[in-house]
Amino acid sequence: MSDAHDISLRVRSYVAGHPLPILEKIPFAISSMPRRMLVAFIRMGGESSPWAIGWQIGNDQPVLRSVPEARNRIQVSEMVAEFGDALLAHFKDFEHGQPQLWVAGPTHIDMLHFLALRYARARSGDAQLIARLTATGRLAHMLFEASHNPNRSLCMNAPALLRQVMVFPCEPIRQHHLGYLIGLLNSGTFEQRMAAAQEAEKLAISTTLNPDVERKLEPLVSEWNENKTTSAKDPFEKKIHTILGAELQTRLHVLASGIVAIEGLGLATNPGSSQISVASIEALTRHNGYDEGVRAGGATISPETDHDPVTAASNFAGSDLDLIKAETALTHHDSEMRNQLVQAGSGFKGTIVERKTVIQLRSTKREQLCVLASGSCPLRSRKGDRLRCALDTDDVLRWVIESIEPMLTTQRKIVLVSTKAVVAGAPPMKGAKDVVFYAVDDASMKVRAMIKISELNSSEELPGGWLLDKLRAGRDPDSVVEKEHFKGESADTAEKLGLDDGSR
Amino acid sequence: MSAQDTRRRFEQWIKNPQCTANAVSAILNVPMLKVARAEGVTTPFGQSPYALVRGRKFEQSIFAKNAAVLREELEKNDILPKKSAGFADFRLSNAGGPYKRIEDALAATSAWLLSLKNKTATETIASGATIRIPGGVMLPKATLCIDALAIDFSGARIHLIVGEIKVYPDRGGFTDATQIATSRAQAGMYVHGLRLTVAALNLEDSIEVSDRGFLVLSRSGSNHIKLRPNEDLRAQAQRAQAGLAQLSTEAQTLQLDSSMGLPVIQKAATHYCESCLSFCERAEICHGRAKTSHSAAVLGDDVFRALGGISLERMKELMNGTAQPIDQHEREILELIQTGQDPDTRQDSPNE
Amino acid sequence: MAQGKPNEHRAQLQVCMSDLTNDLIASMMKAPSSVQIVASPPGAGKTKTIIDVCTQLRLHHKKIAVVCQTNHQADDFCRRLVKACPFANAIRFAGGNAPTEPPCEGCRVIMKSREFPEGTKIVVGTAAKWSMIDTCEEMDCMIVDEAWQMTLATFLPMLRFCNRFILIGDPGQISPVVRNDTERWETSRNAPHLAAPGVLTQNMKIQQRKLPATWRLPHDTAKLIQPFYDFQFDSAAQDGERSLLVEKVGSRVGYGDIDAALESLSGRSVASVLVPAPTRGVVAQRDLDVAQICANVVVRALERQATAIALDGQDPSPRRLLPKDIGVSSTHRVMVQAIIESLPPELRDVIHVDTPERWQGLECELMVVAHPLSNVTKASKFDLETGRLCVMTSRHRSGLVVVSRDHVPEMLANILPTANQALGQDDVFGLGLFRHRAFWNQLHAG
Repeated sequence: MSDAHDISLRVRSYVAGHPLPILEKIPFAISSMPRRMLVAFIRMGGESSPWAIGWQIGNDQPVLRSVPEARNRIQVSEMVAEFGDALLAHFKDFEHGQPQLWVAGPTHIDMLHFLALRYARARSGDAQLIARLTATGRLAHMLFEASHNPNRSLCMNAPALLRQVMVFPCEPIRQHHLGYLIGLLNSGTFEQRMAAAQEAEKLAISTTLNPDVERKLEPLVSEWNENKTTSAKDPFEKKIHTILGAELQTRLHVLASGIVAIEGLGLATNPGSSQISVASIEALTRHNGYDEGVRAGGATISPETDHDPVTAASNFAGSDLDLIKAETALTHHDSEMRNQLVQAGSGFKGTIVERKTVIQLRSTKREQLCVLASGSCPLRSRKGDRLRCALDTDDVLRWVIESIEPMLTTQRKIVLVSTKAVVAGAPPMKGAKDVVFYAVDDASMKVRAMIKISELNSSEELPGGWLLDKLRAGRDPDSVVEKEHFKGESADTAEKLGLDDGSR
Repeated sequence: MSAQDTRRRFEQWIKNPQCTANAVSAILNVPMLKVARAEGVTTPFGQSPYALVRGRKFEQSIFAKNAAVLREELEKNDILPKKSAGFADFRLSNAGGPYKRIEDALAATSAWLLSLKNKTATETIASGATIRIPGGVMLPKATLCIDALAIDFSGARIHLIVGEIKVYPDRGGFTDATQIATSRAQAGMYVHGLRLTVAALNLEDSIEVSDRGFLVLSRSGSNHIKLRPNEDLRAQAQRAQAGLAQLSTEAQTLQLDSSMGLPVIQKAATHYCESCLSFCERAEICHGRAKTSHSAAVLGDDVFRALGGISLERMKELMNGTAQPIDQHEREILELIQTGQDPDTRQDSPNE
Repeated sequence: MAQGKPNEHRAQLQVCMSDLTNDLIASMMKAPSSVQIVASPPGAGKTKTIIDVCTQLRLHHKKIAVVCQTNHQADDFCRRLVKACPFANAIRFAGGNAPTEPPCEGCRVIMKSREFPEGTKIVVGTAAKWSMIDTCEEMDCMIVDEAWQMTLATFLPMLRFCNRFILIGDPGQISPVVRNDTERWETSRNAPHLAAPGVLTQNMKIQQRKLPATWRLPHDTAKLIQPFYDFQFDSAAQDGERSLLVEKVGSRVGYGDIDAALESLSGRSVASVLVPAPTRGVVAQRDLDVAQICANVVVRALERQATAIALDGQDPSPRRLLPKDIGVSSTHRVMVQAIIESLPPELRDVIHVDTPERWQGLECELMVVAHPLSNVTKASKFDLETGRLCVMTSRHRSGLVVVSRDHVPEMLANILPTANQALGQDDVFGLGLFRHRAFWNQLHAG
């Protein structure tokens, strides 16, 4: 969406007194209740590991877990392993519908990345625990990547999805708070909605706690640390868990309300989202294959980056391909998406003033259209570009621009010819008005590009192989080996634990 | 007066330099939290106690055993040569260093810089080097405590390479952009301050402060460090220089002195913008005022700029048709909002 | 600035270029594997260098692949190659989107690599075409034109066909456009989304060669755009050798600044027309006043029979400008449209008005540009990137007129830059700020 469009919508929603839809349809599918897993994380200030994790699958009771001392690596890892078991089990089953993970905001998404960085390549320690943790880390990494991929509906960031569909009459910075958005979606006057939103905003739903809550916990944690026996520690552990559990409940509750709010928008689901679901299942299948490979001794994908040039290029091309596939799948079914493309100059809208069959090379028949298009929007398209017609049901058919002729300031005459024979009587027909032609990138080209890149690894004799070798040579900057141990270390005071992992 | 205050106050001001109240708070070092509480704000604020402890411990672990951990990373990243040696520690005792008072650390740092020139000092790592920004732009004093310095003796002049240490987790390309920006901003301030100090000590012939610095972050979930070399700090050093100059001008214009306090801030003009929500405890009060006055700032900085002074109430009137545009600006903005695109094409116009 | 007589200066530059060309040829002939990277300022003879290398290697019976970034560039290269070397037997290696007609006589179109003739050949295709083909015989040398517009990801598939490469391009211009998120690769040693020459230079510690001078741009323009580059370059044209003269005609109301700007082009190649910023803030993106002034500069230049003089050229006689010799550019499509609509109808199809992305690789005598920051009140990292401004201000041979709102220097002075780029990446914001300030100061100096 262009800046001007975004600004315009925000002002209009303010004047209207409520959020307004940006799109005609919801561009993602929401899995059925049993296939949804809601998760919330809490972390101690300054730490990136979780202090507490809460999750809820479908209508089951939420599971709330916490550790009394977030800096105790052993306790944290055991908690993460338990969460990981549930996560792995949830995503192993996709025969009963596509599984989804839902979170209440971007900081929870970041926590998935933290888990990946921390655990995906953990090595030393109890073998069984390590196996659970590394599998959790790998899956967390995949879900983290999926949350950024428009061609995946595996990891759902609720406020981001709401912002995709609706524009809210407030500053963008506030729009990461799911409770705030839900408040604005309430019925009522603008003032009533704002009041609800501001009240909801007071609740912390990110992974960090309000400072006063942490200050309440501080003496409890100290007491837990100071006491030596389990029986002495126990009451403090319970109090800590009560507080953290309540915080988790709040986050899960707001998250569940967020999903209800999305479902309550009254918008149909974009049919193109089913293709995204298919792509998501395929990704899960690939992940399972990768996971098995790692268990058999294969390499783990780095959660940070790809240093290998071929891997990086291949994944980069894959990422581009996913973007094209998602756009292609969704745009065709949503008039607002197409309007945005037209406004951005990646297409046009007009009236078909002529349609005829033309004979091209080797006696092939093609349809030629003459469109009188509105000239009010800038047009990036030019001769030779391939566009899709909003009325087409054929996924492959495209229309190539043969000529663009400016007429009066407000109009253009555009001649297009089809890339294949068109079924007689298929739209767009002469006289059709407000027909949108919009640009889509060619997914097949990207697929071929990916294949050619990946062939670089399989080619035995590569003329330019020496250059690849040079790019691969050089020090791996990430050569720090994890020195964590995950078995039976005694828990000491917080101070000592804080230093243990950094000392050599 | 801790050295962190200077950095914090400068960064506070720079987050919203258009707000006079913010500037006064930074210059007089009267925390906005105090003002907010006086005005009845009860929302909890403050940093996490754990985050502060972690940050301290992280830094201390880096400099333990004569900065062994940091040295290894600096050598690995070719900032220092292999088998480098020597560690100069200017930290205060509450940070694990040998000095009780800032003034002592200041004096020791100056003496050390002079002995670098005289080649009697050969340390290749320094921590807590303490300098004072001349001119006293921020009342009462502007003191900086540099996290880390690497000293390169290989060239014709001695190179001081500034390092900033943060416990933020390094996540590669996903590392929080705001956190990275904060780290670089502080490193840039050090570069600028160090250059002023080197100049004030007449050491420019012998000592050069490098444009490139390094960041030390943490690895996710552990206290291992991740060093990022070769950070370009030129623009950030200039930012510090220009920012301090602007702040100085503002201080002079406002005619502030250290005896002034809270009431001056309360009376000062405010300018609400989005960034206020991330750092200012009075943000909601100012937001409330902006809402009452129908300022477009309540919809975001971009809307505020785009409307160019037109209030949301006025926009409502224009859009509802209860008022007509009074000038070309209002006409164009109305068209922008109604169509969602920049104003529509004009009619064909004759060649002038 | 080079001392001594202009022709001697140019002769020295020719020698430098010749030496560079010979070095490139030698590396392609002798080294079993090689990658040579050549950085070029605008109009420095990139294409000529490539053509010289091609024709020389062809004499040694080599099989040469030329990689261009767009079909238009590939066709244009073929025409220039055939013009320089009519017996080159150039092959235009075309894909489905390319025209099927040969770009010129002496060049044929082939769509499948298995149809390549045996032995010596020069095959010109786009990067997209080269990277997609399944098989191809091994080529002796591959030359990538406009290499800084090609990502590493696009370059890598070329390794299937060749082991000696020359990458030549302009590092000051627009970086490769990437649509998808790149966070995953920002800290990669082999970032696939970055320009291939930069990644190769850094990782393989290659010493980049440089073309020594611009032949297109006038002397003072070369100095004006120097801040956009981190290497020094000269200009073949010496001070005063290029100028644009306009006839004395009756004055026109409201054209005072425009006339002053056009008249100043007799003594320097760059002029500025400043428009007061509106008191209520500048108009975002579509500034009709600035658009009209850009159009008026074009109209006035033609009315006053602007004439270009190039004393360093083959023909030093004055040449009156035709509409096709004048170009206009703005960074935003809506402004491009506004400028077109501001032109008289008879000029709309003749004057080339376009974004800098579409101006890359083209040139003209007189260029009129709307400054990219003219309608910006709070500059972002994107706004401060200088690639687009570099392209816009390096298309002209005789004169450049920059039209802008006058708030720009104050806005630039007040910026306190944020460095939130990914770890290890260039400080685009800060660097862009320095460069924009230097550009503005140089533009308005004296």
